[in-house]
Amino acid sequence: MTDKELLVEYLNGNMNAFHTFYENYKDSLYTFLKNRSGEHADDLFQETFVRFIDALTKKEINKPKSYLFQIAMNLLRNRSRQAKIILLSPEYDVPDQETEEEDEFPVKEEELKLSLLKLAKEKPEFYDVLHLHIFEKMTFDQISDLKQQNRNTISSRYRYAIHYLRKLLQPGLELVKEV
Amino acid sequence: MFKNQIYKKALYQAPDELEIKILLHAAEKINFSKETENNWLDYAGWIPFLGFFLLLKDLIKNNRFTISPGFGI
Repeated sequence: MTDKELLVEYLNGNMNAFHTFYENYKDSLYTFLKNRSGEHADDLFQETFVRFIDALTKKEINKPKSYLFQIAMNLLRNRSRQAKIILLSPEYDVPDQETEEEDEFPVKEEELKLSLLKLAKEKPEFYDVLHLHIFEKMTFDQISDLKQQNRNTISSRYRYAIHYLRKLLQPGLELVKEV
Repeated sequence: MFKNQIYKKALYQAPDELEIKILLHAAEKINFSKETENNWLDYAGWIPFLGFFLLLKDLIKNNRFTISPGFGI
């Protein structure tokens, strides 16, 4: 059953359908907010779902996952205007390698969580793309649609985010210069 | 793959107490919209019987049946 079908079921009175939808996104949304806002994650998580439910009972939502994350991002933006937008110059790029296929190296859970937290704090725009692509399984086109940004910018940000994480986890690795 | 490691190792669990609050809100919201719908029907349900009651009233009072003040049957 698709997200949209689940939510139609919910609107017809089936609470189990909503519970399934909630189960599908709760951990990834919570991870997103935990990394982006730290101690405010609980409040923002609840607020995101409450707003989503309220909107759902008032209007039709065609892309529920995108809508859910859009609410979360708007709440984050409202809460903290510090998230700086990093503009990439046309020349800017990182090595075009899907590094995950190469040189697999084991990472400790705690180190990975800390690195993601650092990425979210220092490069929120990059973190957003990485999260939506990895945890939400959204394509670059879908993220581009959600963030209203060019697809190339999105894919560059994703590659930069991966590279940045690797740099944090493998200190010897040289970080590609950001323009 | 690095991507898989991120997915598997960096996921936090949403707290259970938040789940309860959110599900309660969802349940309230859906009940509220259903109640509103039912109330409207409750109020509207008697309308089709209005004409019948008016005719019955005339019959009991032995009046001529009136469709409108201008016409009598």
